Amino acid sequence: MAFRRLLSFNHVGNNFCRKYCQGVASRDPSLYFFSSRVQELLFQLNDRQHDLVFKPRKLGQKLDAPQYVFMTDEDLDKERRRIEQCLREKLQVPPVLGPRKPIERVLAKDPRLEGLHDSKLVCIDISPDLSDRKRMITVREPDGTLRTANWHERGRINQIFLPVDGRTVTMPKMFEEPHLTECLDREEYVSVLDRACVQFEPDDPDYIRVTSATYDHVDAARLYERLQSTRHFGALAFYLAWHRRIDNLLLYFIQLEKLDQAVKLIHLYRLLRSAEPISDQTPPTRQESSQSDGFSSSSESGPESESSSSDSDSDSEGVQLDIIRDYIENASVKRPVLELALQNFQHLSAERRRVEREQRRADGRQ
Amino acid sequence: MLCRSTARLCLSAGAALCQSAARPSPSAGLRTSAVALAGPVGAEPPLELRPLNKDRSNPVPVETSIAYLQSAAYRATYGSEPVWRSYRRNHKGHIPPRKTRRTCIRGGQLSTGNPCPACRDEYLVLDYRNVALLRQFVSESTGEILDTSRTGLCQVKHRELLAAMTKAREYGTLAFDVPFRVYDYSEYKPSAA
Repeated sequence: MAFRRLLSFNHVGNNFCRKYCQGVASRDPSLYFFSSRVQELLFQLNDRQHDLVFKPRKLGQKLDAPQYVFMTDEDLDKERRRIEQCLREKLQVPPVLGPRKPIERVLAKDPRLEGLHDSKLVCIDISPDLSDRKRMITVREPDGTLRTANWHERGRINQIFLPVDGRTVTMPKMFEEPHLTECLDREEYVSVLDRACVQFEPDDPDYIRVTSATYDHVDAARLYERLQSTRHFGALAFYLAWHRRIDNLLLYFIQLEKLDQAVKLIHLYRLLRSAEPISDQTPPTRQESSQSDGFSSSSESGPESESSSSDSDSDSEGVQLDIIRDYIENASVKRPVLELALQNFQHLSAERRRVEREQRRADGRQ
Repeated sequence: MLCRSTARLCLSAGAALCQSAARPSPSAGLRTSAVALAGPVGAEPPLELRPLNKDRSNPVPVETSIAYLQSAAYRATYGSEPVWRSYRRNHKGHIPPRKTRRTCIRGGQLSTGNPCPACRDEYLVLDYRNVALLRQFVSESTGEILDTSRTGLCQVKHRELLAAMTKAREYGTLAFDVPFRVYDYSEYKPSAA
């Protein structure tokens, strides 16, 4: 409770680490995260460059020489579909949950056992087919109380008896201050986040603290491309949309002229702002379907055709610009900067269209 | 670059090439000020060659070692290659012994004729903060810590290296890859209300 009060009075600014369930209405992000619409948006917001997604990890394994295989067209299609499936697996976003609640409860009190042992005894069910989160772990205190283990004890005992590769029994010092800040200042974001995913469970308060600090640092430094084509970009986008701080990322997309990504980000922001948790059964609202029309028309105008491409481009671009302008006017914090960026983009694209028209006219004359 | 026969002198005490500055002789009739004789402003002091120092009783602080790895003396001695690249073990026959010697330093002094790459240069301190040095002992392609058969380190220094690498991973000074964790979403989804 004291920590919560400190957070509300401390004006440090963007470098502040926030917990997901802080605020007037403490909502649970897991009610929104697992919806298929949110998941699809998080996947689409990623760059998905194959070279970066499938970059090999150096884990001390023996390297094999590359294989060159002759394939038929059918084999090639099958291989492409397999790669798409692998891409989805590699870009699986780590689950976003609220902080976990205590699960310690007393099972029995036996005061006659006091003095029998001078240390606690831990009992764990090591059946391999059980989930680590549901495994029975109990503790017999020296005073005879039999209770279930708390989350910290559960993590340690699970790691001792059923170790996970890459995880340590005690939390590495790199996740404590000042070492965490030093790692972030060296811009080793992916390394910190990958290790946090392996070390912690998604609802561990330490995991939430470490990931929040990393996302805050990335947002403050505007180094979004470090997380692009990794699984963490989706988690970053969710974090920013949840905390209603998408302006910097929106500016980044507009400056890179990725309007479809900007529109998807705004869509995600609106989905996460809705009061009702999204379930897959509720149909999309009219506003969402008009936005998704904006997506589909932009994706259809992807391959450039000859003469009418510029017109269809400008139509879908117009829809996207409307959506972005609507957000900037109603919901953004950094309104002047975003408006300026949007104006620059419009000037640039108008210039580009004019140059293209003159080029075509010149080619036609030739 | 100095010739190989004086290589041992080169590698001592962080010294490197001696630079022969072209000084005009007094009889040349030129009159220059001391400032001009010292060379262009902002130039590094000329590197000097020092005799071999076998004393290892005063360990060098790690901050000095970190600064040394960025210095002109280090660059002139090792160039851009790892510090173990130029080292060659001396042994009988064609096949080297499986293990390198136990230690090059006895009684606080270098006690061998061909000390290992970490012992011969007292300014190379294997510490978890000295990332530029630690990175030289990690394989580029697999991320493994290189074996003594490649690096030529004595056993004591190799154990110091392993300890430094473990601490570097603990404190996060050296970034390294971890296995990819696959989540089973069904374990984390909130139960339907």
